[in-house]
Amino acid sequence: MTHELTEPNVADVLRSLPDDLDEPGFGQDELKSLLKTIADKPLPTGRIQRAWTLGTLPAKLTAAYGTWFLRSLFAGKDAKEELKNEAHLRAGLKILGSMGYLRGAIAKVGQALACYPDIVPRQMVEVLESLHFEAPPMHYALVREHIHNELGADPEELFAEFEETAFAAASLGQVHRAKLHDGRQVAVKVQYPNIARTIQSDLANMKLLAKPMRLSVEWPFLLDVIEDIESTLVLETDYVHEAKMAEKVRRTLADLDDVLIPEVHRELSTARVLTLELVSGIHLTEFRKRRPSQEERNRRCEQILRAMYRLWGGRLLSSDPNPGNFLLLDDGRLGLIDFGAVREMDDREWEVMMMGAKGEHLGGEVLDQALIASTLITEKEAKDETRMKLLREFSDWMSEPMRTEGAFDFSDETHFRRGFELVKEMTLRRYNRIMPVFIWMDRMLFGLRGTFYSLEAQVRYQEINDHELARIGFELPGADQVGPG
Amino acid sequence: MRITAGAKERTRARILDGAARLFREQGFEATSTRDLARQAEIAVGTLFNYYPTKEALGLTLLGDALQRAEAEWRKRRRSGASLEEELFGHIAAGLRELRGDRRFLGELLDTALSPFPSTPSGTDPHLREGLRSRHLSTVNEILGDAGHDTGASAVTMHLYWTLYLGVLGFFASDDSPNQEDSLVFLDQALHAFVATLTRQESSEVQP
Repeated sequence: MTHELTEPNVADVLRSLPDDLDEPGFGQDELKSLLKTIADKPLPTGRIQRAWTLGTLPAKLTAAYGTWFLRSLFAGKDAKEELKNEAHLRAGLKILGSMGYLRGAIAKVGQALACYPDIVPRQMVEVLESLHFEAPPMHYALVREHIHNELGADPEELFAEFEETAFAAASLGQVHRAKLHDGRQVAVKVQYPNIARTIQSDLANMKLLAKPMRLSVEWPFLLDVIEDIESTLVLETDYVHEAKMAEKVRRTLADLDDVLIPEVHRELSTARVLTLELVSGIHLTEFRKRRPSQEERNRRCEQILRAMYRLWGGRLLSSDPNPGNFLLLDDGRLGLIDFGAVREMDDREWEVMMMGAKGEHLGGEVLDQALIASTLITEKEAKDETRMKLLREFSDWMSEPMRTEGAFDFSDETHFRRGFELVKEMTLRRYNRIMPVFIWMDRMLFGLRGTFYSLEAQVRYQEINDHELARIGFELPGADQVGPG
Repeated sequence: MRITAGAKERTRARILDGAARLFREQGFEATSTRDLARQAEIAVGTLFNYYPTKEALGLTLLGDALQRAEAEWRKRRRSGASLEEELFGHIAAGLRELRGDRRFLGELLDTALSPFPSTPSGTDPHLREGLRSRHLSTVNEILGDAGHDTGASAVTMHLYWTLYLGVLGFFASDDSPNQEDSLVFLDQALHAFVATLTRQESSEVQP
């Protein structure tokens, strides 16, 4: 079921760009020549090169999607603005080309492709939903010095045991196994020194670059989105934030006996080092390889869905649906291991979430109001019947599993095709405006459904939905109740 | 009146302590020999009996710090570390020891330690050379332990020394949190050095 990605050549990279790139438009030649330069570079071997150049497969694809994203920022048609915009585009491409730590971004796209074999239109997978940082590997002498600087002593003193070789890569760094003096096993996440500040300044530059442009009517909304993305990404670089979120998630999911949220060891954590209880289990990819029974697959997917619903009910949202964040433990529990992308919903966001839940249940005018609120469209724009119809259809697609009694069969391809066709249609018509929180919500939703699809699971979605909504006191007259997705 | 060896040592220690404090607080350039003498409660003339120049005093302080760092590095040295890691650990130990003296280190690099000293007359070549050769002899030891040619060419050693001074210079003005940027700089500099060394050696064995 998985698709192996092979090293593409320039033609492949260019082909993987969205269709409308072939339409006449400015910036196109620069884009293509930049891509060609990137794609033609020899594969780097040294650590420095690996860190700072774009040369690997993920990098090439990242560049492709990244440039697509940048280009979408410059999609204005105003002739007077064109020259200025082209200069901005070129500068933007240069920055993107230097952001080597984004190489892993498209590992995500690879995952998405593996989840939706054959049916995912490549252009659906934006760079935004796959942004993922990657740092160069660190040898132990560097790790040791860095930990000493952060925590005031060498790992050998801080821990009873500390494995010198990392056992996993983490966003922005790597993870080492260690043992506390009291014998407890922990995972120590070490961030590559200075990468957080590099990313922060790159993002700030990107924004500065984007600021002076005035393009379509969508522009101010796009700026909001960029700002939201920026602040979310910056939060991901701060392990203090991650520690805080891990503790919140732990409290929120405390009642779920079959979910393990690792304990944070604050005394051994800083903004760049994070010590968590060690969670040992297998990843979903490994799980799938073992050909588990239908029952086992269903059980695991329901476990994941329940945990995500419970988080949502606690006004928390994991914006990173990477299946790698889930670990399946031998004792049957589900472990969550990455909290950098968890964000809290504010009152307004939660209010609109609730409007959406109500709207999906009641339909009609209530649904329309919820759609208008979440997509930030004006009354005039809401008179565009095509737009409203598409939004209603998308909402209908989202809530389909919640309306289905018994188990919803996620192996059904037609369900996914419909979702992607709707997103594609909305993208082509440029109906992309949305409250930033829903970008993360949708990213999460597609990620989860992708996981369920790849596991061909049958999930009692409605039952879980109703139960979790009742838990947070969400009540509606009538039978079916609906929630997030 | 005869001055005993013990009294001499105590004076020397007082001069060094006082100099370390003044260099740290007001910088190397801004500290005069008069300040140094006053701090050590001796006459300026007496100071010159111990240290002929301010640079000599600075280099002595730096040399002492690096010696302490070297002792610390030997204690923390791990078996099985790669050449790159060993070199990294050695330099990083020095940076750690010099953390409080970065300002003074920067000024010293500009004058006494610069490969192109603008005031060669003020610099004691023996002190400079002593500092360099002590450091390089440890580097040679590390190279030998890692199975490399210990009689590394003068060019290789000069390349290493230049990188090292570059790292010190970067570190001296690195205001990032915990000087984390210096760790990255050092890591990348050593990576380049080891790559060069390995390339050199492999080209030597080929016909």
